[in-house]
Amino acid sequence: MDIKSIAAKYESYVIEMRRHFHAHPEVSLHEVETGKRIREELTKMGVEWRDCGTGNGVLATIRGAKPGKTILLRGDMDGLAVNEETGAEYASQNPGVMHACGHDCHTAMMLTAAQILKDMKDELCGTVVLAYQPAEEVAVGAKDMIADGALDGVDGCFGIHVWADVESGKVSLEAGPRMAAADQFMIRVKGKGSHGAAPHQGLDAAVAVAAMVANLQTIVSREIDPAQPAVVTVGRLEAGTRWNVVAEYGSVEGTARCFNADVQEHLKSSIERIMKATAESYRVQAEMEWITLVPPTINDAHMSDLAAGAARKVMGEDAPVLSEKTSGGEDFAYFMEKVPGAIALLGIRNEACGATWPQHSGHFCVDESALLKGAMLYAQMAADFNAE
Amino acid sequence: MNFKNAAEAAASYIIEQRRWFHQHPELSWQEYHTTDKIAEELTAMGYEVQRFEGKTGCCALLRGGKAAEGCKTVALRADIDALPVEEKTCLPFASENDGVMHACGHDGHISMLLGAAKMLMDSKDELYGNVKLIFQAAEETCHGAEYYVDAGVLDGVDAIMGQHIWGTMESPYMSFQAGRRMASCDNFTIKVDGASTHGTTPHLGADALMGAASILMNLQTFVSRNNNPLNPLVVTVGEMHAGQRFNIIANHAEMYGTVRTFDPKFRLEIEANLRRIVENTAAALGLTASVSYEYFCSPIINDDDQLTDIARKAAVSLYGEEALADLPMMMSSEDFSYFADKVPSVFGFIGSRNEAAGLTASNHNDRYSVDESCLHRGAAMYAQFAADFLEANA
Repeated sequence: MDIKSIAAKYESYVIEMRRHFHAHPEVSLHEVETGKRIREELTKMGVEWRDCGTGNGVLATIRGAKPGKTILLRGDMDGLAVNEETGAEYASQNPGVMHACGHDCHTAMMLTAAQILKDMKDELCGTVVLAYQPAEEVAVGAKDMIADGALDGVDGCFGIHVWADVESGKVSLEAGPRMAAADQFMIRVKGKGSHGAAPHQGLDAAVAVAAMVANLQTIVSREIDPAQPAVVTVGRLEAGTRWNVVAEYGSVEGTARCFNADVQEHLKSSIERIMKATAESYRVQAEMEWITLVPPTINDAHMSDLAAGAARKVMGEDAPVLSEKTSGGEDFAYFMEKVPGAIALLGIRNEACGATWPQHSGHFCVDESALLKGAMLYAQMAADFNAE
Repeated sequence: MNFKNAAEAAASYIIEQRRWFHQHPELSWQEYHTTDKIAEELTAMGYEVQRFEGKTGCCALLRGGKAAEGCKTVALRADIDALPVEEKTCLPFASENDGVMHACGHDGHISMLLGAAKMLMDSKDELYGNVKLIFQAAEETCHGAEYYVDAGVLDGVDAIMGQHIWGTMESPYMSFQAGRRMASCDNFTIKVDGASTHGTTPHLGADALMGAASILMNLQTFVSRNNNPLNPLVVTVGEMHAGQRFNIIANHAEMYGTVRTFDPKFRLEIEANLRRIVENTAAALGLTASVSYEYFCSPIINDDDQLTDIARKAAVSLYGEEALADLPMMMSSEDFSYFADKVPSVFGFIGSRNEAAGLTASNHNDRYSVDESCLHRGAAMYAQFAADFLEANA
């Protein structure tokens, strides 16, 4: 079963698909046309599918002729509210929306993987479930697909993210923490307004939120093991209404990031403790709203090994490279919480074709020659895992 | 050559030595009896001992029987000083020096290296080069090793190995891992000056105590806001003094702290950042502040693949694959780095914890004691590493 020779005939297909999705990006939860095109393509190639997740997600199934395990392959499909500035001929036709994170590539690689896998059905073990996932950027899609049964009967999962920090032709597949857990918090403080010239008659919510921000710094600098990366950022602060009125209300909004589920819990309880105790010491009331966005993305050691083996087969012996973990979050973590999984960071960086811009930049572009490799990696990983 | 059996035969000697040193701990640069005793033991084994005039600590060189021209010299290092800790172990060989204790396990290091000295002397005919034994004083000062480097103990040395017995790692495991092992250690003193006045008239003074408190809070932001979260960094102010009396506004405050990290380039950027925070916070409060910043140990990073590999293989040949355990990198420091800055090096850890025997206190704790069976294994590691290194580079 030589995936490379099967894949060769889809070399132009993967690029054609990528350019189509790139030209027609849709923001999270609005991937209607994207979902429609995915369904059309799957139907055309004779792969069965069903709707799954948020109304736009698609779950396809390819059954091999031989017995074996079931793997879920995942590619996300949403664009971002970024204005495209690449000047490419296939640049976004939706002003203000762009595939600046490379999910167009993921969708194209996943459709190409479906082509390859259906071509090798007779030799394929087990079942391959392909999850075309919407709404990754708002961390809703994965949860919704799982709630909709995407993982029923699934033994393992594998995802790919194209990655601007990795050279084209290479792929990073390390075991362990890869992407951060991300949480969001909103703290609201209520004091008592008074004339700015008579602060003793009020309870100053502005001073209280300032003290909270300062005290929150000690979580990272004093409480968390320095070997454990952690971030507590307050990105937004508002207090008061007017220069000469002691603020009655204040609020802060922030995010907490880390790579470990215990640290994630620690960050939450420390933020809450500091909020409450600081509020108490300034005689104001405070409450917190906490939104868990994504758990940490942690590659299973065995799945990582297996994927590295698959990468060597289809991309060459020296394809696997090391790349630093990233403090961005990835909602594929929800799949990996349920079944062993790995995410690959597929290199698309290539100075020769100008692919050096960071992800989420309006200039972001990719070395398209990496895309067929990604499709082959999806297929090889599925074949190898299912045959285990 | 395999030192497993020789180490078992030497175990009772090693334990006897450890107990003697444990009972007679001496503080940094005061290891007079300790040095005499080490020299006495080495002399009895047939070594010629090198002493340092006016200083504690000693060295000895063993010339191998198969040492050809241009052969290598490998150094083995043990530190020998104790800590100002009141011992609470209740051991029959507990410290006889009140308020001083071998709470960091350097008694174990001395006895391990003496055990290795014995074994290496016994098999010197089979060594393909020379072994230099370094018994170093004053590790706990963060820069005792600097003296010996300046005194030239590494002249003609091609590689050095050191190890620490470790209270959080279960015996019989040991760790010889590549990469970051222990952090750099740089210390700072901050002095804040204001103006004193009566505590009821703060507006007539400039409060240095409040300044110190603000400086400490603002220093937190260097770790939490300026540092890359993927880069391990600790900034601790461990000691702070301000003012004289409850009803006097403080005119002076002093803060003492330490900085730990791993990246050599980043390490040199820290001082300027601390100065920025300290000086500007003081200025904002109408105070003046000064920072004195002292550079001590570099990080311990096992970056010589050949040496790490020799150490790991030595451990496996002695005690099997299962002997090697993973010990996460630590933010604590080791002045072994002064040696490692000069010659290729490897540094390892020998687990001394034994939960079943109730030996669970960590290093520097007043109840720290070790599973003594780890000591002959540590001795075997010293000897095996030296022999294997010399053979591999003959």
